Amino acid sequence: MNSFIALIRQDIALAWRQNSAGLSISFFMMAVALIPFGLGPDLKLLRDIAPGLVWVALLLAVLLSLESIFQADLEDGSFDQYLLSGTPLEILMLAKGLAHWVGVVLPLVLTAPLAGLLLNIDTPSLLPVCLILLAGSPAMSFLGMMGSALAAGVSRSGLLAALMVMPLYVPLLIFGSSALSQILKGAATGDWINAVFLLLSIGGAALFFGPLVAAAGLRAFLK
Amino acid sequence: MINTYNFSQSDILIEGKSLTCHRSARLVFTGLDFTMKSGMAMMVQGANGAGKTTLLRLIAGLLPLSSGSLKRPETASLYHYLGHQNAIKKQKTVKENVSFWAEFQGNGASRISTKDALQTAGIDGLADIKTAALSSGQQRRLALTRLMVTPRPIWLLDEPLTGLDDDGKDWLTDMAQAHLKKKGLIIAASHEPLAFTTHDLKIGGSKR
Repeated sequence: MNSFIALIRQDIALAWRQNSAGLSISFFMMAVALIPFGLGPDLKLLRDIAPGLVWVALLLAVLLSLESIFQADLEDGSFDQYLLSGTPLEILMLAKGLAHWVGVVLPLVLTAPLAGLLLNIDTPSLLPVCLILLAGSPAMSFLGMMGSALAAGVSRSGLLAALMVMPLYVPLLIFGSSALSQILKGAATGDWINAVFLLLSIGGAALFFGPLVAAAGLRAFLK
Repeated sequence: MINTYNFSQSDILIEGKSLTCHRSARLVFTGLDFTMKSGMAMMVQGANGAGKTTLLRLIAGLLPLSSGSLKRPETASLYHYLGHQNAIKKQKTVKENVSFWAEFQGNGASRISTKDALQTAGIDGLADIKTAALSSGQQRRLALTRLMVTPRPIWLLDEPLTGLDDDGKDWLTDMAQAHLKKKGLIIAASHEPLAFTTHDLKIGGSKR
């Protein structure tokens, strides 16, 4: 249990010092801010494409941070120490996933609704938008760590990880952006609340399978 | 109980019989025999590429065996493995690295305080410095500090002397001899002579 907590704390501290969240947030904001330049000042168009746009930009921003989950540990020898820690690797992977969620994805998701202002999303919708993104956020980390682990050790693993994770993000994108569209159309809470549960259940499944897949992938890489 | 540092209650045996190991289709070594018991220190010698690191990783359970039999305690947390990489986080300070290991490996039940460990290692003046700023010898000292911070009976040391000055070598020798007295077990791969080893194992590098 101590190893679990120690690893979470270490990884959050490292994410903070490397400013991983800051980089992802900046990337996301830049991506969203560039769109109006490309599309012209059509407010209605911006509002219509905002749900898909926010989700795509958000997922891309998360992809950017995936390489950092395992690469440093494999390069500096920390991974050997994980294997000899006496704590099952799956548990440690769960710790790494949680740390990525808290250290990178959560700050990103919490600042993301601000970008909604750039896309002409009205202020009362911001809270529900935030809720939807928050519900999808655990899945972003734990689906992401699968790809990151499977790509680990390959040079430029970040790119490969992104390629593997993108298809896994499709369900998040579909359910997430359709819920956002509903919210922006002013639909009642009952119309989109199901999406929250759906996103959370994807997250739950990823929380279970992500660490297992990551541990298996990294073990296979080391042998 | 937690703070005692004596492994004699359960004698440890590591025994390899006609060990063979392949790494990506290349035969690294074959027909390797050795027996190690608590209180023994073995130095593994061999040319570059003879398989010294491979042998240490095999014993640690980090690599699978191709053929032969290897008797070893299965519990991962009995092993200290000091590899070529120091497992140091560059963004963190010396002190933070040590206290992470104490918590992560030793479940917080360190028998020595972080401050004392750093003092013995001769790097206590650097406690609050980011490890990225350390010299390679200082980083090696920091990595070796792990052996003190969390007591584990089996030490697998891969080129432990790399980067160490004479002072550092003496420190390692003292630490190793104290470990052997407490019925610990050491297997070290090195090109330089080690003052604390009692047995030698030569890996023939003829079959590349």
